[in-house]
Amino acid sequence: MKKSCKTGKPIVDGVMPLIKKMLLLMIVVILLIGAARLVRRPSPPLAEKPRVELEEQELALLAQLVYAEAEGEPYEGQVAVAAVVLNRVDHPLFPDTIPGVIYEPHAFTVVANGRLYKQPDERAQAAARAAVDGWDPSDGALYFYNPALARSPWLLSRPKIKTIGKHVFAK
Amino acid sequence: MNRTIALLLSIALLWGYGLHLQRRDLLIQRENDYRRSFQELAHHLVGLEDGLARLQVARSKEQRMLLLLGISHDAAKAQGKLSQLPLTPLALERTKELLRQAGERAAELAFDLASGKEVDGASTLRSLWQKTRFINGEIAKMQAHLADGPTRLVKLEQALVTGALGPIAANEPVDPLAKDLIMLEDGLGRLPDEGVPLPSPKPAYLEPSGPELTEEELIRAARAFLGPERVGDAPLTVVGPSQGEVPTYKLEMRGPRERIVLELARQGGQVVWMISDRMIGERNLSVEEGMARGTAFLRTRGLTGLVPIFRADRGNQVVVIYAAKEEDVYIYPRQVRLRIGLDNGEVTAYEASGLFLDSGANRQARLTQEEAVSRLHPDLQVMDARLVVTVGSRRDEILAYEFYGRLEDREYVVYINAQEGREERIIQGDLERGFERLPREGTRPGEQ
Repeated sequence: MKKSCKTGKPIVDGVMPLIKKMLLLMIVVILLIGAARLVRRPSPPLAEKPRVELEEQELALLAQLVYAEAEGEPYEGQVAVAAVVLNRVDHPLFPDTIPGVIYEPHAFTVVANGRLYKQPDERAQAAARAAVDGWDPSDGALYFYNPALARSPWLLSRPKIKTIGKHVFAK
Repeated sequence: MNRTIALLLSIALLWGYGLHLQRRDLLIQRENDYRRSFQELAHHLVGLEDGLARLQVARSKEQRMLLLLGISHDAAKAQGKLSQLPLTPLALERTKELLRQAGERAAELAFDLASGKEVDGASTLRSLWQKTRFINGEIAKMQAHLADGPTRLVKLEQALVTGALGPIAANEPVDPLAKDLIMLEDGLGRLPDEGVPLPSPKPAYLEPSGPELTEEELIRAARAFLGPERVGDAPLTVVGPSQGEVPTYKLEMRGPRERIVLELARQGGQVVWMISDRMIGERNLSVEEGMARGTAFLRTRGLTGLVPIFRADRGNQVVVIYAAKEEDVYIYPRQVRLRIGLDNGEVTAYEASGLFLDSGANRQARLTQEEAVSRLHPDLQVMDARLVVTVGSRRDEILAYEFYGRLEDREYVVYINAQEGREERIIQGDLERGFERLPREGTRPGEQ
């Protein structure tokens, strides 16, 4: 159905290039959104229950850190990683909460690169729980690192306590 | 063809530009967060210096109390803000230590002031004041660097992370802001330390004595601890030494059902801790049955004089904390923790480093329990009382009456110093994270 404007020129002739431009723009926008999605990291898993006690949330966060930092490590190594976080919470030179310690900028690589947001397995959860219940196979360590990857001369100079699996635990 | 290429190229360019904008926005957002933390850190450091300065001149108890509260608040806030900045690779231990000392010393002095002790807070906190003045001078210089671009702190962060810089690298060419921070730490180390050092929060361990055990002796001790039937034919090996508070050797047992790791004192061969990686099956035992297995485990290993004080139901496991009880005094630092699987009643984790603490020397109460009760809130309905050795308000070991009671709909634990009568600590709810307090043997809640 063609309608004419005041000049008598069919409207469709003037509209077509505009539609083409709009289509092109839409394609670009869609591509941009798609690209943005590609670079965006998956969002953190939501807790199943809408209201969880703070302590449970902190424990879940601790388990996430254990899983991200020590997946595939021996069980006592996983407990030790969780214990390092708790040792820091108790230490006056570190933040005094579990989230404060975990999210301290550049304290843990897995927080910086988003690996923290992977869903922890049952073993990592049990390890985090054991540390909260009072076990510390790290023997009071405040730091741990993988000697094959760590570069900071300061970190490497900390007094070593022990090695568990791939991690060195230090004061 | 050319048009298609041009189109694809424009799409790519637009896409790239979009990503660039997105990245820039994220960086700016991060910078804004850091700047906010930095400026708030500067704000609280100025507040801290101001409070410490005013304390030099304050005479009245009321003013000093108010100033001490302010100092404690500003120190805690500054600590929090500092931990939000991307300065972790620099450690900044002296700055953090100063904030800790200011906060703890102020709280301690406020406590003393309130309890009627005449304290000269001004001279005690004088060196902290001088150090804070120095920090603020340095922070003011750093503020000038923030004008060097819109993402100044993000640049510092990138320099610190990619360079994996340590505080010892002061003479290397580094980011000027990082250099300022390194100089700040360095300068703090040069300022004189005055006043009495804070007591160490670290507990004292007993000096190990006796000859070191041989490998065979260690394995024999571990086998006896686990029980020959649990070990069976599984290989039990010495892994190596460990440099903890108690010098130990680590041993490992690889069984068909579980892998157990234990650490044994090099001298004496007592098990310091043990943990099994066995995943627990379905629950067949009650918490009480599990606890009874735990108590029997301790008894058969010659660990007597321990009584259960807390327990936590963890679904298919139960965790029980036992403390040494000597002449009716509970020695809280000397404790043993057991985790018992409620599928078969096995002890799956054991922790006894508390038994190696040099603890509980002072057991002579000056106050009677009745005298201590008279110092409690008159409406607190006391349900249980114990005489305990525990950590006091100053993190030192004290002898105290522990009163467990109820006021309105809340449960409380109040500690009254058994020598000085001071109300040392008040805890609401769980005494130990998620643990239930067990009543004294032979009593039930509500009885005494």
